Formats: sequence, C-alpha cells, structure tokens
Amino acid sequence: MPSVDIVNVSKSFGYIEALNRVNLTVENGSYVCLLGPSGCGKTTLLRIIAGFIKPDEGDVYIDGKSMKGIPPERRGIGFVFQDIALFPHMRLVDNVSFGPEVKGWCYKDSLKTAIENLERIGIHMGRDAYPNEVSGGIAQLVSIARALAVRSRLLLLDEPLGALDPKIRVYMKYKLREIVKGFGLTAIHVTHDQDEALSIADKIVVMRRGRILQTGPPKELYWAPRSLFVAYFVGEANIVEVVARCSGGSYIADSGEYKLICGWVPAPIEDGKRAILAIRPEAFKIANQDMDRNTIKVEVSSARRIGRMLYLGIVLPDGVHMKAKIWSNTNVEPGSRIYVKVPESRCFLYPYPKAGLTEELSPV
Amino acid sequence: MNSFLKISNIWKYYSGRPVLKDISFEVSRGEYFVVLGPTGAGKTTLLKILAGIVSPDKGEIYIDGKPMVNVPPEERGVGYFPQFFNLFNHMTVWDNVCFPLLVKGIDIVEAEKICKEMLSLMHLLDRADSYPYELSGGMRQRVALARALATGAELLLLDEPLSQLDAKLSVELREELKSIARSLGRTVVHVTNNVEEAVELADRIAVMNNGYIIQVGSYDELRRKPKNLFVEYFLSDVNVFRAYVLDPHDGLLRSSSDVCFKFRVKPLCEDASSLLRSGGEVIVCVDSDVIVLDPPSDSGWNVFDAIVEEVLFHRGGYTYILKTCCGATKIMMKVMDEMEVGIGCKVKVGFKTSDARIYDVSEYDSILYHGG
Repeated sequence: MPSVDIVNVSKSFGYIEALNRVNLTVENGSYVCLLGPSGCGKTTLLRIIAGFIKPDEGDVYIDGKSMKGIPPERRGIGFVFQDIALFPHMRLVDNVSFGPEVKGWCYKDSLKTAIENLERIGIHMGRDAYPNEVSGGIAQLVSIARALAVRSRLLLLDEPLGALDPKIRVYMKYKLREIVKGFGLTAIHVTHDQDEALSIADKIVVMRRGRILQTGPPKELYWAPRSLFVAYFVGEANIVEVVARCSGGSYIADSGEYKLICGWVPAPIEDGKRAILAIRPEAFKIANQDMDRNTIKVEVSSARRIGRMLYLGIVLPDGVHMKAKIWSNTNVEPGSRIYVKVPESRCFLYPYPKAGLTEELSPV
Repeated sequence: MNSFLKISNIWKYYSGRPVLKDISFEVSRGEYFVVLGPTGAGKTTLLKILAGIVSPDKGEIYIDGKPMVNVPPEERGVGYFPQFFNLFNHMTVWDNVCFPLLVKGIDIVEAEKICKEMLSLMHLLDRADSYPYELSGGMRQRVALARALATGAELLLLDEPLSQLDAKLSVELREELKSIARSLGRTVVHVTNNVEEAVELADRIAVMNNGYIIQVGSYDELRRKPKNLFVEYFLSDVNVFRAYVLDPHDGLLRSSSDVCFKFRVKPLCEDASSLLRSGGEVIVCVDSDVIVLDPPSDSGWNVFDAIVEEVLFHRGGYTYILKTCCGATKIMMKVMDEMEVGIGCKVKVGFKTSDARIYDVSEYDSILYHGG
C-alpha cells in the first residue's frame, strides 16, 4: 500500500499554467478524489504522478522514493482511462493477462493471475467474451482488473465512470471503493462530478486554476467549506449578499428583513461590511414556529417529493428565492407559508469577494 | 388530450433487428416531455425519426394534426439538437445563430432581432463576437441551444443536450432550459439517460428500454405505480432481493441466495398477491430510505441483525451498506443524519412488511445489464 507525496509541482503548457506549486500527500490505503471543473489541472496532476508528463518543477515521491527519471512502467501503478481502452480483438481474460506477459511472466502465471483478479472483482463468468460483447460497466471493471494484473498497488483513475450510464455509475461507485479497500490499494481518482467524489472518497482535493483550494474528507468539504468557491462548486449552495454584523465573537448575516446567526465564518469580516451568506439546500429544517433561533417564515413556491426527500422552492421575506431539500414525511403545498430553521453551524458567511461575485464563482 | 405531437405504432429495424418496437405516445402543446432510458434503448433513433433524419419502417407521426412521415426534415417545423452538435468554428457566436435564419429566408432585420433575443435569453449577448473556440463547453452548449431555439420551431427535439458538460454546469443549465422552454411556450421532447435530469425537467416521462416505451407518466405516477421491475429499478435506489415463497398466506419469503434471510411481505395490490405461490420465486423491492435503525418489534415489521460494512456520505445524507449477520445479504439504507454506528458495528434494522413491492421472477433479466 504505497503513499504518494507531491512536492511543489508546477507545469505549464506554453503560456497556460496547468499546475502552480501543488503540494499533496496521499496516505497509504486511502481513496483520494481530485475534483474540479474542466481545465483545473486535475488530469495533468494525475498524469504527472503516472509519469506520462514531466513536471517543470517539483517532484513526485511514491513510498518516499523520488520518481525523477523513472518511467511509468516502473512506478508500480495501474492506470484506468475514461474511455475504457480495452484491446477490442482480445478476449477479456487476454486483456488482463497481456500486461504480465509483456512484463516477461510466463503464460501460465499470467493467466492464473488474470483469472484471480477477474474473480476478485466479481467477474466469474464470461471471461472469454470480447469487449464489445459486454456492458460498459463490466468492460470498465475488466480494465481495472487489467490495471491491477501486474500487482500494482497504486491505482490511478482518470474519470473512470465518465463513459457509463448514470444508473450504472451509482453501482460502480460502490464497486470501485469496495475493490480498492478489498485489495488494500491506494487510489487517486479524477472526476468533475461532486456526487461521485462525495460518496467514494476518503479525502477530496478541490482544484481550480492549477491550485488546490481545499483538502478534506467529504463531510468536512460539504459542511465546512473554507472558501465561497468550494461552498458553491461542491454540491449546491444558495448564495445571497448580506451585511455582516459581528458582536461578542459571533457573526450575524443581516439581509435587512431577517437575521441569521452564522456558525461557519472561515475568514474574518468587519462589522457592517458586505458579505456573502451561503446555505446548502439540505441545511433547512421545518420548524413549528419562530420561537427558535435562526428560524424564518417563508413562502413555498414549489414542492416535489422524491422518496422521503422534499424538494422545495422557498421565497424568503426579502423576496430572495432559495432551494431547500428537507427529509420529511409530511407534505407541503405550494403557496403555503412555513417556518424553516437553519442550524447556526450550517450558515456559512464569507467576505464579499474582492474581484466580484461572478469572478469568484467562475469555474475557469 | 390536446395532442400536438402524436406518434402511433412506430417500428424501426436495423439490419433486420427491431430497435423501435410499436412506439406510441402523445405530447400536448407546451409540454416538456422526457424520454428516459439506458444506452441502447432506442432513444436517439426515436428522436431522429421525429426530426425526419431517419424514416420509420412502420407507423405514423402527426405534428399539429398533420402527417409527417413523408415530410422532409426542413419542412417539419422542428428544432433538432443532436447529441454531438457542431458549431461553425469560423463564425462568431452571433453568426452561428443568425446564419441559419438567413438561409431559411428570414429577412435580415427580423433575423437580427431574433438572434439578439435568443442570445440574451442564453446570457450570451456579451460574447456575441467571440468564436466557439474561445468559449467554455457550457457556453458552446448554450450557443447550440440558442441556435435551435432561434429557428422559432414550436417543437424542440433535444438529444442529451446536457450530457457533454461538467456535472455542475449541467445542473445549472437544466434549470435555465426549463424556464426558457416555458417562457417561450415551446413543446419539448428531451432524451436522456439521467434520472435526476428527467425528474427535474419533465412534465411527463416516458421510460424506454430495449426498443419499447414501457410506461408514460409523471414522476410521481411512475414511482407510485411502476408498471414493472425495470421502471421501479431505473427510477430509484432500491434494494432488490430474489426470494422463494415459503408461505403464501402469511407472505413469508426466503432469499434465494441466502437461506437465513427470511422476511414477510404484505402486498398492497391484488396483482402482487397473486404472485405469491407456494414454492415459487419472486423479486422483492424495498426502497433504501424506508429501512430504519431499531425498528419496532411488532408483526408489521421485518427485523434483522446486520453489520455496517460501509458508510458513504452524499448530499442528502448517508448511505449505509449493511450485511445481514446470519447470511451475507447486502442491504442499502439511506438516512438523513449520520448515525452513531460506525463500520463494523452490529445493528438492528428493518422495514415494514407493506413497504415491499413484488414482481415476477422473469423480470429479473431486464435489470441485469444495468448494474444489478
């Protein structure tokens, strides 16, 4: 189970700066997702770890060993591509045994390991099929078995679920994590899909414009985002401009019509200054009356139920529209007025961005 | 029903193999109609037939009451947005939207007026002079949509219009798309394989699989009364068990793969009750969000001892993957708040006997290739 250390890695393509002094530690046996919008540098970073691209500056250490000058095939990695990339003219089992054979293993050993790997991944039958005869999900599992066939312990995955149907993707998320944990691997997985990252990773690395913005477990990124961009990009957030009030060490978001005590204020804000309040749709709870702190009376503009989750459109006293997702068995009718409560710890307050709100939230 | 688009008994064969089988449905004027199904269901072929790019082997299409099968694409009055769209790379955003209008013979003053309106709807007016390669993927997608909307066609045919985008952008554009279609009063047929997208956009959804339209209805209708296992499985995160009937009167079943895993079901409808034949095998579905921790121990509940195998975070809460203690059946449980039980903990969980839905065992094959 290897660890990976990325130290001060920079890379430019012409005048485009893809990575700017990136530092990251990936612990032994952990499942790490690199998450960010297109063009943030996540794939470049993965390819540098694999050795497909050389960094301009900095170095990658696998198990404490510098990878300078070491080619991809000697780094002990398995690489899984978005477009699956199995050899179409080879049976599934031959696709998996090919790597070891090229490495000089004898045919018998290669085949034995290939079958073992396929079985551990859950493919017990149909090994003689050709890639075009199986579903995309199965084909991607086979390509993972192939990546592991040479006993790689570090699995690098570039949008591995990107080419699959959404329904299969849900199942494959669980399956991928199960494989990585079951084999005792370290995995680095690149994705632009927040939901994928949130439910698969031990640790998520949020990237934008060649830099790392925040690193942490899914729950922490979701409920304690250190910047407005992370609050906005990872999942969803209702974002409104307010005036910050601070007194006695606690912060209040003041919209003029309502006030909310904010428990998550990662950067200091001066009293009376413009600020941004961010509330996740899942932060709302239905309250019976406004006796509680942080309770507001709102108008329901739309309501839909999916399973036990209510998806509401709500209008705040100042006319601002917000989305709320509330786990509830009682139905709420559009047009009705209800009380909603937002726990203090789930009200995020950020200084108004210097470069403007649009620029702060722009993915590229 | 005031149907604007009517399709009846469409069949299409590719090299002798049927890819569309007896497709019939109607779409009202102003409706947002979503065709939902996995890859290979026949969705794109269906849309191409509506657009007139592919002709059906059998069947009729009516738009606004007029038969369309022998009408060429350009005379059908439809705006078609193919899955892999192409912008003219040597033309600015403005010209990309304006040019097709001029080709159609619309006079330049009118064309420029429409063009301006569409670009402003798509928040692209300030990028009118940019070239496609200077834009992000989301912007290019919006240009292509503006172009499809600008044709003024009352019927829009959209083939996975949001699939080529970053997840975040795709969700944002979803909301815009619906409100634009609404405000312009267009009728839309939108093809997708993404359930969430369908739920958010559609007035009605047609679930498609293997060349058939299986069921048409609002999301609520489809969830409340799914016509078969495929609809149930495709639309929700559901636990699926195969089980033998031990006692039909009592609704007692035993998992086919796990002799220790026994539970009772109390079917709410007649059809399901009739599937419970002694010794027969059935498929049982239980939603992941009706499974609860420490259930009451009365006869209305099935109660199991299980071990927590995995806890996965997601936006709406947590998914617990549990394994029954006596056998090795996996159960997926979705909850809002993190529970005080971690991986490896032993828990008591259960579901109401009336929360299980039952299907014929022969339907199992329909979900096999979709991750089951």
